[in-house]
Amino acid sequence: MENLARLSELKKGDEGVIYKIDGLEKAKHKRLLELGFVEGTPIFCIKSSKQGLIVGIRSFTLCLDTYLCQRILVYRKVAK
Amino acid sequence: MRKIVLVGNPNTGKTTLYNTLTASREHAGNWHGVTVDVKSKKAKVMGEEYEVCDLPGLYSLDAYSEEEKLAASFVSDNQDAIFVCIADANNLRRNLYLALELKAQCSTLILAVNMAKEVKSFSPEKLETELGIAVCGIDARSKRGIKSLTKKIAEAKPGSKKPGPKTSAAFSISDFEKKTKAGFDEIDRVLLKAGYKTEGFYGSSKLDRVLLGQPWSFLIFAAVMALVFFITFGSLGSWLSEVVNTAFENLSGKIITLLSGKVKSQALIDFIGEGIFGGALTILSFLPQIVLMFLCLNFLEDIGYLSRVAYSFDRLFKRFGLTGRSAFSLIMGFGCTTTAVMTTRNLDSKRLKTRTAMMLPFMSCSAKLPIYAVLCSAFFKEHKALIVFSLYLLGILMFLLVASIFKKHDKTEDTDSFMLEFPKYRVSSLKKILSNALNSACEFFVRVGGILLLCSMIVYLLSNFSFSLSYVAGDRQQSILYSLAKFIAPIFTPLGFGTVGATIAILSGIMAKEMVVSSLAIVNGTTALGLASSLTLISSPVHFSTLSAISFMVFVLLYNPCISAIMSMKREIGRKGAVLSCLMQFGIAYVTSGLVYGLGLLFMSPLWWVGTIALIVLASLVIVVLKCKPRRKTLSLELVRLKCSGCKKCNGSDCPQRERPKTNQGFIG
Repeated sequence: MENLARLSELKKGDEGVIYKIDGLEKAKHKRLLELGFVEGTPIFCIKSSKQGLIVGIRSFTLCLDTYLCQRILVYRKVAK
Repeated sequence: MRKIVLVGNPNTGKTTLYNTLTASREHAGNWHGVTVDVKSKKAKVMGEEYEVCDLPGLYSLDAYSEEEKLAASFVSDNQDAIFVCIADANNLRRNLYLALELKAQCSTLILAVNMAKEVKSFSPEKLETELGIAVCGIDARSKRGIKSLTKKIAEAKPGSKKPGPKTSAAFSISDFEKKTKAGFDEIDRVLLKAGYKTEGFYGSSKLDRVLLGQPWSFLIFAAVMALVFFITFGSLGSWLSEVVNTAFENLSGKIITLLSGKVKSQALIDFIGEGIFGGALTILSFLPQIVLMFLCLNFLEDIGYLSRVAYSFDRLFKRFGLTGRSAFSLIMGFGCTTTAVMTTRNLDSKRLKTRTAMMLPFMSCSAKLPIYAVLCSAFFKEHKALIVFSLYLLGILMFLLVASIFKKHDKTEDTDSFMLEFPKYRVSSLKKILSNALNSACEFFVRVGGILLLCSMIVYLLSNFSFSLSYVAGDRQQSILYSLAKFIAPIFTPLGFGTVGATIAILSGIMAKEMVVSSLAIVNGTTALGLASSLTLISSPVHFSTLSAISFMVFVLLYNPCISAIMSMKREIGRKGAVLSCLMQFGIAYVTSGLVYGLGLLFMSPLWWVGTIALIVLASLVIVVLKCKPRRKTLSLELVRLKCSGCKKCNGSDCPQRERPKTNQGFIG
């Protein structure tokens, strides 16, 4: 089971798959793509807090603030 | 001469490899964006001479920040060079994206996979077959695999220049999405075939649960910094400083005794003793404390703690119109303002860069350390570390206070975002930390031996010769410097240090902050007496009282940075920004120092309660200023129901034009 959500909605331990980046300036959008935020890439929430998320993607760890997290759409993997 | 260009993602070990290839001691740290400029040095590789170039880190050739643009343009201008793309073995899934881009653009490319031993499944041979470029596994720190890399470099044949690929500007976002997706799909295919596997996420650690948890992160950072100050200014730092000072005093004493027997001119002996040895040696006495401070800071950045600090401070900094990335520049500011201003190139927006660069001089750089050390030794021997820690804290508070004022009056919308890759926690290499600290000590020595020695000599000559160029050592009030300083000194009277000596020290501090102590020693003629006697003289009421010493330290902390930092600011934020920053800092330093002195006088008088009330009123005023919002024309937003204009694309009820947001300035969209 999968449902569409913003990355900022993910909680610690949640897994998802990148769907698309929406409503972000061109330069930042490109930077996220270069970092591997392309459609179909699995993403794992390591830590979630008010200031943003620490995520694991393509085998490295990245912290993103809420502004960016709200603009990344993911398919949330829900445990069966 | 052929060029070897070291290129790669940030924090993959490019500078460490550069240091190994060129036997240099360039600063390398375990965080993103240490190198912000292109460095180059000639080096012999397998008997042949090359020019080795170290570029700032970049994720792809479609540059984003300024230092990345610099690196990308260097790559496109030197396509016939030998490119060594350094990738982190733990992070090949992302690092290879740049390698694939370079493969398409550069004639000769070697992939050097750093920290290869950490990933068991990594096989250079298999990857070489799949990628179609030379691959070798290295460990830049322990110099493992360097021979194999140099052999590959020597074997590399010059290729023909390839036509450059389309730049990012030529791609629309959807094209760029397709391009990156194709790139990463190719990487996954290559790594699968090469049998590459990694477990978990590189950079994440259980330690982060404690270090990044709120409010623990701030408390831990404060405790860590307090420990740094205790080590630097506590008994260890003071003892080392005294040992070095005694050694320098003995050395200068012997040289002057030797000269006295051979040189007849007293003016020349005084010049060598006070102008050359005196000024420079006073500063060198603090070398152990500066080295200790750098040792501690290098240790913190080497283990990977600084990136976590940037993350922890992001939310707080956003309230002040900055981002967590500004924390890097702020911490670098503890070392040298000039370098810290250069690191603002890492910041995303021009506005953020200007704000951060303009406020960096509020941080206490290492050159201000001798000033605090001298005055604290004279006035606050028991609480030296506490006073110095408070001054550092005041610098940070002022940084944030001014940042919030900037934010209040900035009418543009805040869209500064924060993303940062976490480095892996690493066991710090003692050799690397010592090498970095030694490098800082050498830079300090070169500075003391160069510009500071020259400035000391100029100050000495100006304070010992009159306008008629006669030697006036006995009556220094006739000297050029005294005559000039007499006019300026009254400006500082309301701050409690309107003496000629303090004025000269303040003015010479604009050339270099180390000159403040040196000038105080030269002008007071205390250099020949040694540090202990100097301290006694400085602490006499003629020069400073306890209160005016605090006021003087606050002023030195906050006023204009040195010439080299001003030039660095001019380069990064332009002439207007640099001039504005200097004027702002002088004004803030003057007002703050005056307040400290004025309130201090009130507290020390029988009317201490007036001082208390004044302090409360002042604090309330600051809070009110921070709370009040500038008048802005607010946009009212309402949804207006409209009739469908008959667009033929709808049935009228679900027309996208049916509901449109309307503001008091018209419709949106």
